[in-house]
Amino acid sequence: MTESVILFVDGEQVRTARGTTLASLLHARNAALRTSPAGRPRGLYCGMGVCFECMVRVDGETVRSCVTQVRDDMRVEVGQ
Amino acid sequence: MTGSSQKCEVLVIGAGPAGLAAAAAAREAGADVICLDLFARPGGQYGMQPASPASRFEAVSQVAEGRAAAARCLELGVKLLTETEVFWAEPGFRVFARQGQEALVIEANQMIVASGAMERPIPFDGWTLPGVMTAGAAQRLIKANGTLPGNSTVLAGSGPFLFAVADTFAKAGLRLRAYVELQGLGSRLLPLFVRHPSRLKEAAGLLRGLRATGASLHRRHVVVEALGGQRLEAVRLAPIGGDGKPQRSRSFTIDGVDSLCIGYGFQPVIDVTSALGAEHRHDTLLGGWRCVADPLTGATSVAGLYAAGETTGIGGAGPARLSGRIAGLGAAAGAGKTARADEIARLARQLADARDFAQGLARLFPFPGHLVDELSPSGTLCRCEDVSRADVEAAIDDGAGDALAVKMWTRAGMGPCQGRICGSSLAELVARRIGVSVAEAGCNRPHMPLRPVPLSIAGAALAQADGGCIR
Ligand SMILES: Cc1cc2nc3c(=O)[nH]c(=O)nc-3n(C[C@H](O)[C@H](O)[C@H](O)COP(=O)(O)OP(=O)(O)OC[C@H]3O[C@@H](n4cnc5c(N)ncnc54)[C@H](O)[C@@H]3O)c2cc1C
Ligand code: FES
Repeated sequence: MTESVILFVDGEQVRTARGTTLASLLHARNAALRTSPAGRPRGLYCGMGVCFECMVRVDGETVRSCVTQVRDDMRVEVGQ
Repeated sequence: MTGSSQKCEVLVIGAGPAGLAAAAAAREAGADVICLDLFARPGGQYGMQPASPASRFEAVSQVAEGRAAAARCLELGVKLLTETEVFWAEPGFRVFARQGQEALVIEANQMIVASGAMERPIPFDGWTLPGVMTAGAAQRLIKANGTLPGNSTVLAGSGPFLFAVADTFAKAGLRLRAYVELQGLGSRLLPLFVRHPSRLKEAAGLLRGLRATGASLHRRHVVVEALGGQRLEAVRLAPIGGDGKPQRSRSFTIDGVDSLCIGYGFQPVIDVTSALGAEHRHDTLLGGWRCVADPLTGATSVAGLYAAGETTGIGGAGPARLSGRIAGLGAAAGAGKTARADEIARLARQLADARDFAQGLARLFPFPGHLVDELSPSGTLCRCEDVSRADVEAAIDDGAGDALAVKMWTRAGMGPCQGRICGSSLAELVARRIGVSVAEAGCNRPHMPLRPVPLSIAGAALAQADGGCIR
């Protein structure tokens, strides 16, 4: 059985499978994760931590969501 | 912020097929070994482990191989550190890493870099739209996380890896809208398999996978544009003409597409070996810039530093495992342990054979760097800093004579990815515009920190290293 994790995305409570990446959860909800310096929408691109397109804020820190595992009670802010 | 430090005789960066083989070999030879990887589970790209034991990928041979290689390391007493990312390294060796929220400094006598490969992207119009991702990203979403890239997916690009990704879709029971391959193939594959018949079974399996996805096949076609407003909505394809260029006049659109997974091949990850000043060479068939390593020991040009796997040139899992084992034995010998000469000679022969197959494949799917010419002037070249092709070409025309100068003038490659994504196409544009080779156009130079790290962790790492300075 897969264990689950409960976290918060833009204030909304979300349940997802433990051991997965934050990017996989966010991508399934909405492919747009942030905007570029010129204000254009961006989403998951390399999936392995080298392009920085999947950056979101977690508990106040900017992280690459594709190399960040989901954790209980994480507070995630998408889009900036 | 806290930090800790560790010491070992042999440190291995990367726990893919190469790193795990290197760690096991060095440990078997008697060295004490730490092997680290930024991902949560060992295995690297080839042996990537699913998040859940209930995944249908658990039984797949690559996953089983990765699991077995990691288990073997643990059994031998290798210290395996996951979610640990190296952000700087100094000769000697002192390595600075981030482990979750902690700083970690590792001092090692010998060091093996097996940092693998990454996609070698080619920018095209619309490639920054959410929903467009590398083929490797799609594979990792499905295989490791059980997430769909989208509901209607086009898989495109060129090379054998696309077959593997199609097979991943098939194994997950997913369908593909279209499969777009630049090359025609057909009979051109035959001579290679006549020389390497043992590889035929694997290839046939991948082809069956592609068929099972129900994809419409578009050979000798390329994606010329991804279309959409806030995210991907459609994909425009064009056939390749007799001159090798896409024929825009015959292009057509596939509508209702929410995911485009695209890949034209891989390039070595050389940030750590470059930071340490090892010699690198440019070799188109091996993915561009690669770290030079001795085939019998894995030794680089820096004393005590070894390299293995894709870092030394793209070749896939077979060469990665073999070069990993060679480097493991080489590093153990460097640490004063005795390695068996007969085993090394055998490994070197197998490595030459495995590299021969990989190079044969690479010749059938040459990297189509020229496709960067299809990017329109307003098209984005550098994603991090939103630098367009026109910006870059204006800088070149104003006198920026190599990739580094273009970087300084336009900020292309100065963003957080440090040019990893746009670097090779930037060099391609420079080379084409001023008539030099891609190698002469310059390489991408990494800088501190190689990977992003909060200041607090960098500070803790420095404090841990006795206030040692980082250049
Ligand atoms: C996205 C992608 C998908 C691929 N999928 C397949 C496939 O399905 N089948 C196949 O046959 N081949 C695949 N390949 C080819 C693959 O390169 C080889 O098959 C094989 O995995 C190479 O082994 P390696 O050990 O050299 O590198 P990898 O397997 O890539 O292992 C390198 C490891 O080093 C780690 N690493 C790198 N830098 C750091 C750092 N600074 N700090 C900490 N850790 C670090 C990485 O996280 C990675 O896990 C893929 C390659 C890529 C890039
Ligand atoms: S998608 Fe590239 S860093 Fe996460």
